[in-house]
Amino acid sequence: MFGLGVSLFQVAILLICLVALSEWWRLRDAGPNVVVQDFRMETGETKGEFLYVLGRRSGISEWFLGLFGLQAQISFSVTDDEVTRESAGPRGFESLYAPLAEIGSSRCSYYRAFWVLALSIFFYLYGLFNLLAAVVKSDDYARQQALSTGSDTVWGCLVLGTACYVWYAFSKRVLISVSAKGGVVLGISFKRSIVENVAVELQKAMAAVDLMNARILAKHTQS
Amino acid sequence: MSTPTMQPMEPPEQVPPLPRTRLKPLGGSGKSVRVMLVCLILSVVGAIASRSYAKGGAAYISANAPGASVRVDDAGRQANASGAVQFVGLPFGQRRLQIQHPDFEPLTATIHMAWLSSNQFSFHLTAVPLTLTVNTNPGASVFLNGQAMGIANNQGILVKSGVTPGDYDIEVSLTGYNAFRQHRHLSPRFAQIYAQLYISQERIQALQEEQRRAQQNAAQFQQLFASAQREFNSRQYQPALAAIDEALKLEPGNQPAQQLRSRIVQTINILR
Repeated sequence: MFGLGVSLFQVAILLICLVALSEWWRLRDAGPNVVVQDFRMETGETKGEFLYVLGRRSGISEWFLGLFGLQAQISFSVTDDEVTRESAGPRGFESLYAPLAEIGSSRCSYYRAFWVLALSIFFYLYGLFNLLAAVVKSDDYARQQALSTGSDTVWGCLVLGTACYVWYAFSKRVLISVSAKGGVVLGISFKRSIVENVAVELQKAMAAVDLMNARILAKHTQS
Repeated sequence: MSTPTMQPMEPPEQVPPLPRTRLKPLGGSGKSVRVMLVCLILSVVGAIASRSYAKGGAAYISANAPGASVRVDDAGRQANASGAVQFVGLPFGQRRLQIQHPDFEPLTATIHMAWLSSNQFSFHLTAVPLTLTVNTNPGASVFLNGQAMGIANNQGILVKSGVTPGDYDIEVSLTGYNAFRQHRHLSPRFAQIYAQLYISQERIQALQEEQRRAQQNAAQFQQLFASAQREFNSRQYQPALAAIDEALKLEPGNQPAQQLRSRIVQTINILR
């Protein structure tokens, strides 16, 4: 398939599976991935809810369920006293709560599936090195044969490499999470998007986490 | 003694805390896109170029030897009637060419197959002269493409050397015989021609006519001869002489007739 030998193709699939597994492991505490529908952040001296993120679950299956009104929504809310993550949808309703005074750490990260990018470049380079190895063959007939095989391999690597890069390009997301005492992690992740003409991206997420950190610190100082 | 006055201490000036030094996250600069695009372009160009190269080139080889056996490295083909042959899928670079034909000196050459160009090669082979041997009837004339080659000897053989191989219209003719005509390829391997000539139909008819006339003459002669003898025996000498003269016109050399005429003439002379 794709000009790769069966064993090569199997190796490629195995690599993709390994990389997918490692990326899944990296995202194990990321929380649900959403498409942001609302992002509110109150920077002034306000009381009550100062951070609110609302989104729908991302993914083709979720989009398809949304066509039938079965859209799952997830909210992430931080007030002066608590952090709450709620989800409502066809899978049911869930509410996770942690008092702000019990928050041990907060996290803001900009996730990118780096190993997928590495795999993408590996596929491209493998195909190109394959060609290079064919080109340097001294015998004309051997070179012709090797280039024929190498061309098929390059096309295969091109497809796999491009697929991996598309995966990488769509994998970029911003993660916000807090860890409460007891090991409970409350988080949400979302892709960069435009909500009400405002870009919700890393800088804004970092500002939100800074704000959240300040409130957590203040809460800890009070207690 | 004056007591020193206490100066009220000014509260220390509030120094704003230094902002936390933060790393600037990578991202959004499009570096990975550039890397991916470079890889993508290189891969696409490499794949297309290698596919084009791997297909090899087509070599159009022509020579003045129709049907020649042409070999390029280990691949062999037969040239068509115009002496051309096409090889496809040959790797680019130096290729070893061999052209063989029984009528020509074998040719070995090196051709350079170039990428992205038409590879047309034309060769001129040197013909090997042949010695033509014609086995026919003695005295028959031999023509090649209308040009006289000579006359067969007493054994009916004509040997002609220095004939260029090729396709010829061969004609062997002899008076009274049907001509031998053939279009044939002459080569060192096919340089013998067997052209047995047969008597023509006209000649056969002429001979039959001649035979029939001879039979008629013989019958008429016998009749006249018998009539002359009969007239001579019945002492009719003048009619006997006329009859035998007629008979001798038919067979002048017939001795009994001549003897009878002599006897008739003698008897006529005696009776005078």
